[in-house]
Amino acid sequence: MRQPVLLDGESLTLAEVERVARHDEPVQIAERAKGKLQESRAIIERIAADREQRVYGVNTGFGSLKDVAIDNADLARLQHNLLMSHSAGVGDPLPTDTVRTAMVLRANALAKGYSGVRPEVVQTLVEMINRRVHPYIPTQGSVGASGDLAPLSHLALVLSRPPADEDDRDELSGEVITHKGVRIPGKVAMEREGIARLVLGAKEGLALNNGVQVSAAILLLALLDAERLVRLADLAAAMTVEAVRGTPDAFLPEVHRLRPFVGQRLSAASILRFLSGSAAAGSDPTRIQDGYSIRCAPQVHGAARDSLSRVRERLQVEINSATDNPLVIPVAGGRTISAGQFHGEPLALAAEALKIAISEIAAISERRTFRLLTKALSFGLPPLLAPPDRPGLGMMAVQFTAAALASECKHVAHPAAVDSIPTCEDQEDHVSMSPIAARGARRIVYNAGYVLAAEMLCAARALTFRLEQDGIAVGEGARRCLEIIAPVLELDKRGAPPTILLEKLHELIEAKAFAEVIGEEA
Amino acid sequence: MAAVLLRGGELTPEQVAAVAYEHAPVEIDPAAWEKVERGYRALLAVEEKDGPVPLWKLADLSDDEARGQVSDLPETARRVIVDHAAAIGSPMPTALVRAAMLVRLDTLIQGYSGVRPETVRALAAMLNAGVHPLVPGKGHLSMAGDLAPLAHIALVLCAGGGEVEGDTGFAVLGRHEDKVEVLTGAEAMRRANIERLWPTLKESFSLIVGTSMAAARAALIAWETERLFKLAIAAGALTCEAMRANRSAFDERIHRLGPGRADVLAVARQLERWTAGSQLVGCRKGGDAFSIRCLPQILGGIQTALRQACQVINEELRLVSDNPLILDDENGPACVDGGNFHGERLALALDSLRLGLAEIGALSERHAFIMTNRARSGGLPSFLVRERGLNSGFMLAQYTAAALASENKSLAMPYATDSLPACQDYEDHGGLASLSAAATEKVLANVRAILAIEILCAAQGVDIRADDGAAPGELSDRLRHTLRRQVDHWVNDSVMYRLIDAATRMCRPGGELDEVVQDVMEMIDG
Repeated sequence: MRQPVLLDGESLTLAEVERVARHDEPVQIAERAKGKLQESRAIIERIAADREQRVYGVNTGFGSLKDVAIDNADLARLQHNLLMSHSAGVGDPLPTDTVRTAMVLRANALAKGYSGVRPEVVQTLVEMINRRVHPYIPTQGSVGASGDLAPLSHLALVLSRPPADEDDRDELSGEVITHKGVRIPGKVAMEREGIARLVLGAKEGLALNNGVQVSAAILLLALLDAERLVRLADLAAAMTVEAVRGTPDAFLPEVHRLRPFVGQRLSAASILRFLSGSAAAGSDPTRIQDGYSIRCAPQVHGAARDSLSRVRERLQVEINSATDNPLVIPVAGGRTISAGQFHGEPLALAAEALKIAISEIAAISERRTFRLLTKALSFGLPPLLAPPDRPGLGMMAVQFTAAALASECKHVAHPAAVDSIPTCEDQEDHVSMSPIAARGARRIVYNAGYVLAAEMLCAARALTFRLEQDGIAVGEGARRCLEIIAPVLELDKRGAPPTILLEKLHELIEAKAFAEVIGEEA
Repeated sequence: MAAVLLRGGELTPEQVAAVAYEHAPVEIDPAAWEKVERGYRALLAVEEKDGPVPLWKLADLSDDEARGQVSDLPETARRVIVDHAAAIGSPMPTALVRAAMLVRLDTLIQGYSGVRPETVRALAAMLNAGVHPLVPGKGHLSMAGDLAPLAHIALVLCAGGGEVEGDTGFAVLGRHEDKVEVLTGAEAMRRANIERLWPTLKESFSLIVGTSMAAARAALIAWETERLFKLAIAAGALTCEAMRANRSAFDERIHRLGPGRADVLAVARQLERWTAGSQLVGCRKGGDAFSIRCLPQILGGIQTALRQACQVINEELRLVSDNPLILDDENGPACVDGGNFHGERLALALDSLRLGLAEIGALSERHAFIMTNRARSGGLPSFLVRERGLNSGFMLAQYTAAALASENKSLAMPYATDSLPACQDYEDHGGLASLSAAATEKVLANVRAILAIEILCAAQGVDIRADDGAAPGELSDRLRHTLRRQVDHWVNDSVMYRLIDAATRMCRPGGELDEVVQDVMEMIDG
C-alpha cells in the first residue's frame, strides 16, 4: 500500500521527490499545512480588499511595472494575464520526470504557507500530479531570476481559468502532453481528468510562477543520477584495476586516513571492497605503481563525491524553502515583504559544481578505457581488446565514443552561472541562469553514464580475456558485474556492433541493475 | 524536383540543402564514373605491385598487430565497419544523414578512394530510394574523420550480418521524424530492392574515413547562416524604424574610411535601402544606442567572420577526405598514407562561424531590450503595450531572448582547441569538428528564435508609431505586414509562446519572413 508523500514545506526529501517523479507515488497536502495555507490566504484577501494598500503582485503590475496600480476589479484578470504573457518558453518539452518534479516542488513550496494561496490551488497541483496531467513546458527561455518565470507559467497556465468565460479558449489554455506524447490544450486535458481549473485570485498566479522550481527539478534529478554514477565509477575503476593487474595498495585505508576527505575515503573503501577476492589485482610483482587514472581514482572520485554532497545539502534546503515574492509573513496581523527569494543563484552555483565534478568522473574514466586498449599500458591485454581469434578493430571505437562524450562534458562544463543579462527594463538586472546551468548538469550526467558504460564494457572484455587466459578469480565487484551484464557480453561474443553493447549496458545502469552492488547510500 | 548532378569536388551548400531537405535525386556525371573506374583500376594495380593494401595503413595498428587481423579478408572488411558503429543516443535528423551520404558519395567519385563502381552505385541508390540509416547522434569524435556516423550508414549498405541484434544497422524508408517503421538495415535495403555489397578491405575504410558528416553539417549550417544573416539585417532595419534611428549611422562616407570596410559598407547600404522613404528613420534629433548606431560595424564585422568561415566550409565540402589515397599519375599507381581525414580546418571554421552567429543573437537581444524599455525606446511604452500593468506585453519575450543569448555564450566556446588522444596514441590530435557542428546547430536555432523575437517587438513598435501618424519605409513595412499575416498586434495579454513559435517558423528557410527577406535583399543587392 503506497503511502502518499506528504507536503508541508518543511520535510520533503530528495528521495521522496524521486519516488513521485519517477515511480508514480502519490502526494498529498499534510494536514498541518492546511491551517497555515488558510491563514496566509486570509492575509492576502484582506490586503486585496483594502483599496489603500499597494502590494507587489497583488494589486500592482509586475517587474518594472510595479508602480502601476491595478484596479480591484482586475485582480483576477491580472493573475491570468501574468500566466499567459509569461508563457514565453521555446524549445523541446521538458521530460515527464522533470515536469512532475517541478510540480511537486512548487506544491511543497506553497504548502509551507508563506505564499498567500488558497489550499485549492495547491490541491489542484496535487491532483494533476496524482493523475499524471503533465503540462507541456518548453525547455528554454528562463534566466533563473524572478524564478523560472516562463516554464512555471506554462505549468500553471494549465490550471488557470480566465475570469471571463468568453476568454476561455482552448488555444489560450496552455498545453498538456498525453501519455502517448501528443500535445493537447490544457483545458481539454483537465476536463478529461475531471480536474476543475481555478479562477486564480489575487497573487495566486505570481505565487505559482515565482521561484526556481524548474531549475531545482532539473538539478535534483541530475544530482540523484550523478550520485549513482560516482559510486558506479568506483566499480568501473576496480574492474579496470583488475584488468591491468594493477596494485590495490593505493586504495588501502592507511593511505586515505592521512588525507581524510570524506569522499576519498569512501571511494577507496568501495574500490577495495570491489577488489576483494581478486587474484588479478596485485598479481604483478614487478609493478611499482599504476598510472594516475587508476591510482588516483579515490582522490578524483572522492573529490567529486564531496562536491555532490554540497549540492545535495543545497537542494535539501531549497526544496523546503519559500521562494515566493512577496512573502506573506503571519506576524503582527500579517504583512507582505518584497525580497529576492526567487533568485536562482544558490542552484546555479550548485549546478556548476555538479557539472565540473561529473565531467571529471567522465574524464578519468575515459582515460582508464584508453589504458585498457593501449598495448603499451595494459600489461598484456590484446591491443584495442581485439580478440585474437576474431578479426576486427576491437573496442577502438568505444573509446572514441567515450572521448567524444568526455570532450563534450568539458565544453558544457563552462559555467553558465557567471553570465547575466539585464531584463525587464533593468529592474531585473542580475539573473542567475540557473536553468541553463542545471540543464548542462543533466547533459554531463547523461554523457558520463555512457562513458562509464564504455569503461565497464572494455573492462569486462578484458577480464573475460584474462579469465580465459589465466583462469584466475576476479574480485567481488567484477564478478557481480559480469553476472549482471552477461546478456551484453553474449551479444558481444556474437559480434554485435558497439552501439548495441553500449546502449544495452547503459540501459542496465539506468534501470539501477547495479544498485545492490554499488549500494544506494554513499 | 531537379536532380543534383555530381561531378566530384564541385558540391555546393545549396546542392546539399536540396538533397537533404527537398530530397532532390542525385545523378553522377559520366566523367565521374570514369574517374571511379580509373581509381579502382589504380588500386588493383597497386595491389598487384605491392600486395593488398596492408591493414596497418588502413587502421592505426602496428604492423605486428595488424598481421594478426587479416585472417579472413571479407569478414575483416565487414568487421571494420561493424566495429566502428559505436555512436549512441537519439537518431540524427534524416536531413543530416542524407547530407552526409551525399558528401561521402562526392568524395568517392573523385576517384582517389579505390572503390568499385558498384559500391558507389549502391550508395547513390540508397539516397535516391530514400533508405535512411539511423545514425545515433552522440559520441562522434571526428578523429580519423567521422568514423562512427559513417559506419552506421555503411553498416546498412554492406552485406553480411543478420546473426545478432544490430549487425545490419537500422534504417527507415522515409523520415524517422514522421515515426515511420524502423527496419533492420538488411530489411530496408531488401524493400528498396538495393543489393547490399561485401566491401573490399579498402572500401570498408573508404566508406568511413573522412569528415563527410561534419562537412555536410557545416554546409547546411553555412547555407542557413547566409539566409539568417540577411534576416538579421532586415530585423535590424525594422528595429531602426521602431526606434526612429538616425540615418547618420548609414552614411556611406564614414564606411569608406580605411581598409577592410566592404562588409560594413554593404550593411550600411542595405539598412539605408530597407528604411528608404521612412517617416520614422532619420526624423528626430538625438543619439542612438550603440546597438543601433553601430549596426553597420557590428553586423559588418560579423559578416566578415561568417564569410571567411563559409569560404573554408565550401572548400572542405569538396575535399577528397579519405585515407590512404590511391594515386595514379606520371609516377605510376601508388597508395599514399597521409592525413586527409583531419578536420582541423573545418573545426576552426565552424568555431568561428558559431562565434559570429552568437554575436548576431547577442545584438538582436539588445534590440529587444531597448524596444521594450521605456527609458530607452524614445517614446514606445513599456513592453510595447499600451495598457501596461494589467498587461505585461512583451516583457517575457525579451527574457527568452536573453536566455537564448546567454546559452549561446557558453556554446560559443571553441571545440577546435580541444582534443583527446585515441587509438593507442596514434590518433593523438583531432579537430572535434562534429562536436563543433553540433554546438553550431544549437546556436543557429537559438539565434533564429531571438531574431523572431526582435521582429515581433519591432513590428509592435512600428504599429504604435504608425498609429501616431508616422509610416516606416516601404521595404521594412513589407517585413511587418508579412508578420501580421500570421501574428496580430498585441493589445491584451495573450499566450506569448504561440507568437514566438509562429514568428520563428516564418523565419525558417522557406518561411514567409525568410522568403520576403531573400526577395528584398536580392532586389537591394542585385
